[in-house]
Amino acid sequence: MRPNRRKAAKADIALLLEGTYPFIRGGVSAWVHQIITGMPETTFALIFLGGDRSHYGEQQYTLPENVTHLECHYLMDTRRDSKPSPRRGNACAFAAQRSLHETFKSGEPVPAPVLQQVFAELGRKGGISREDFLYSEESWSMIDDSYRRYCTEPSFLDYFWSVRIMHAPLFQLAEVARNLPRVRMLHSISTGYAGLLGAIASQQRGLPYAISEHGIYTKERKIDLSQAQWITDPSDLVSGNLNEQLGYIRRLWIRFFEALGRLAYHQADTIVSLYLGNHERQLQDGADKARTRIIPNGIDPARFDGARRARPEAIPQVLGLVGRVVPIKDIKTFIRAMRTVCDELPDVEGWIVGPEDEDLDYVRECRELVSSLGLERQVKFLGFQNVNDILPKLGLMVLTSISEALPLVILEAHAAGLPCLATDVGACRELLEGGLEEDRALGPSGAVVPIADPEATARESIRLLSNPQQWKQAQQAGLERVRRYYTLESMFADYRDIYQQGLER
Amino acid sequence: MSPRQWVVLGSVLALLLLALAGVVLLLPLASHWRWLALALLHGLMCLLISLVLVKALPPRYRGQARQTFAFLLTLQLAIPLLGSLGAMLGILLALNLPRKASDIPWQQVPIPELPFQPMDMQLQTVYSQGGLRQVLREAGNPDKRLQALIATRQMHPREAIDILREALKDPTDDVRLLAYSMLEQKEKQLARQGGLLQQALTRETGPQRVQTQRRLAQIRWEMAYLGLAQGGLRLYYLNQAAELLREILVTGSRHSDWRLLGRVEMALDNNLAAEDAFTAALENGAVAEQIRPYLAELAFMRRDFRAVQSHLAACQPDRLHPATRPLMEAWL
Repeated sequence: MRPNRRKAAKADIALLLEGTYPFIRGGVSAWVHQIITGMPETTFALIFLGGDRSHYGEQQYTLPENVTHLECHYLMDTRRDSKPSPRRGNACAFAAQRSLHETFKSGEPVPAPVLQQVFAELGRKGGISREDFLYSEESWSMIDDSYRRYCTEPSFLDYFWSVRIMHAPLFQLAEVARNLPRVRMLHSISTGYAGLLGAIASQQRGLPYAISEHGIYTKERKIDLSQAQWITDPSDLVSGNLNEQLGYIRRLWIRFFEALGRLAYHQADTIVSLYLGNHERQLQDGADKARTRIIPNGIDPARFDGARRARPEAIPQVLGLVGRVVPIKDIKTFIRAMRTVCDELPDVEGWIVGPEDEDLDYVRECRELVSSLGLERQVKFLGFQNVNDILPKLGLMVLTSISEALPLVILEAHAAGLPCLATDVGACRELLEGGLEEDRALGPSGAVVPIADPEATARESIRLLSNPQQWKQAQQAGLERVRRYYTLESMFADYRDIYQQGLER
Repeated sequence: MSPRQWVVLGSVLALLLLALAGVVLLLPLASHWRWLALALLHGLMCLLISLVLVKALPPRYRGQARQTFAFLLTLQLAIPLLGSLGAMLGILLALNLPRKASDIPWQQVPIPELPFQPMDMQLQTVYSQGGLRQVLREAGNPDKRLQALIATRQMHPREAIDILREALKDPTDDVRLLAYSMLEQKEKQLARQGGLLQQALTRETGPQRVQTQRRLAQIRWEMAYLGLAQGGLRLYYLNQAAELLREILVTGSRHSDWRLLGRVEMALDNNLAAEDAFTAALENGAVAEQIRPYLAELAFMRRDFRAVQSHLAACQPDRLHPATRPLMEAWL
């Protein structure tokens, strides 16, 4: 594959990005942009990993001056494979693979020499080349053997192709790692494929490596996979009992991503989470406590002074959901809640503000829901807008996400003097009710509701919109909370520290 | 004659022809006569050897004698002398010599075991529905709660949805997310069907439109009945279902439409309207056992216990839904 090279030059930090910046807008991308622009003294090389090339359109951000390199790789790109030919395969390299897989199964940390051997040789002639993996006798016998020993599902074909599809991107990643530009440190913004790339490159070149996790990648994959329709489970038609078994292929995929996560954690020197909940999750998933840190997101409150001043005296009767129109934001719950809100307060409008190009099916479903609930007049899809223009026009920021980390939109809304209503996920409760004792004393800056609960969402929205006194209190608490605990400067200081430690190593 | 005798006879004749060819070469003939004689002799010899070789073929190669003969003949005609020698060597030696006997005439292979075995239920945790709810509420280990959620996939949707809704409030992210995505999938399916029907309504007329309205009403009812919609949303869907059904019933009375309307009205707490609808269903030919239990329930709600009894007494026990039978036994 030919990477889109903007300028080939050495950089201080290689940012390993999976499916985000600079092609997708959203919280994580905004954060990456913040980090790059906030540290002009550091140069960055961006390595973008995507799935299907057709899912990514135009670049959404103008790259700052200190980005010296950008390359994009698409893991689902079909490449012309070499002509199949019989081959033996390197017995020694496959033995190392077997031992690696045994370690994964046992859940033990992978011994460093095994990891070193596997990564150094992956995709190379001396180790397991892509062709070896696809056509060699050793590869066949390993797959056959594993199928006989572990697989509990009848179809060998399903197993065989699952293993092939699952491992194919790894060879591409190994190639990407070998061809990375010369950098002094690696920083991946998730685990998953980007995390694995970091682990491989760090192992191959002896570079320091940091991970920042916003959501928890492994967890999100796990939920996707438990429900994915493209994996079929063998149906157990004989017994009418309620058993808890997930299909083997499904579990295989889940374990694959768990293993990717663990590999990245083992290799990383610093593992950052945004808040306590995710920090605990990382420890549970195999991160070494000594290497973990919590660095909350931050914003520059001064940037929202204009929006705050532009706010009208009366509370605008508008509920706003600012976010991409994608399933994880659970826009449908917002729309359903609007049905109940409009029954009580007919003049209230619901605005959905965010790009709609990421999941067109979901956008269609949301629009259909709006019309099936007869809300065409009240619910509006505004597309991507400048937050500073939108925030003064909203009476309440609503976030119905089913999973979040530490959403920047809440911080931005608070800084612009807008109370928020959010689901009880990620750090939302901390952001709205306070974390530490003195933070809690500031009072709630909005309301927290359970996920996927349109009734509760509607009830709390109505309460805040129709009660100016409570609304004002929430506004004050929000403004103060952001000023005290979530400033950009403290976040930059922490990251400067991580980079410095890495670069001086 | 045996193949061997054929070979001997053939060889003698071939030698004879060869000798004749020698004679022709020695005779003082004109060049074109000599070539003609040689060609004739060559043709004769090829014909002869092909015939002999076909006879000498081992039995398993004799299936298509004509094609074999044609092949051997053309081969020899095209390559004089060498062709004949090759064909003779190939057939007489290679095909007729005994093949090398294998040291092991057969190999013993154990009956392969199927790699897939049906699930051993004794090794599985099997839940009852009540137990499942208990696990979700009480189990301290999130993995156990997750597994209990997965087990709901095999339950009746209405009960599963009830449990899933409860799991949405679980303290652990994973449990909540899984419950959410399972609920979402069920909801999505119904919403998709509803959306398509709604679109179809805008262009359909006549009996087809009535059919679409009926299916849409059923889907709206399903949303509320399964518990996928709550509160204001549930009321919205129920009202829509009732409205659609009333529209259908203007065009023609079908007892199943009246019955569904009765259930919708009951869910909306419009008991009088529900009673009217159920009565209309009976009048339009609904089976008593399908309608009277609802009428009994409505009678119970207005504390008319005598009517409860009389409605239940009008049902034949063996035609009642098994779930209603104990109720009947208790009342009668």
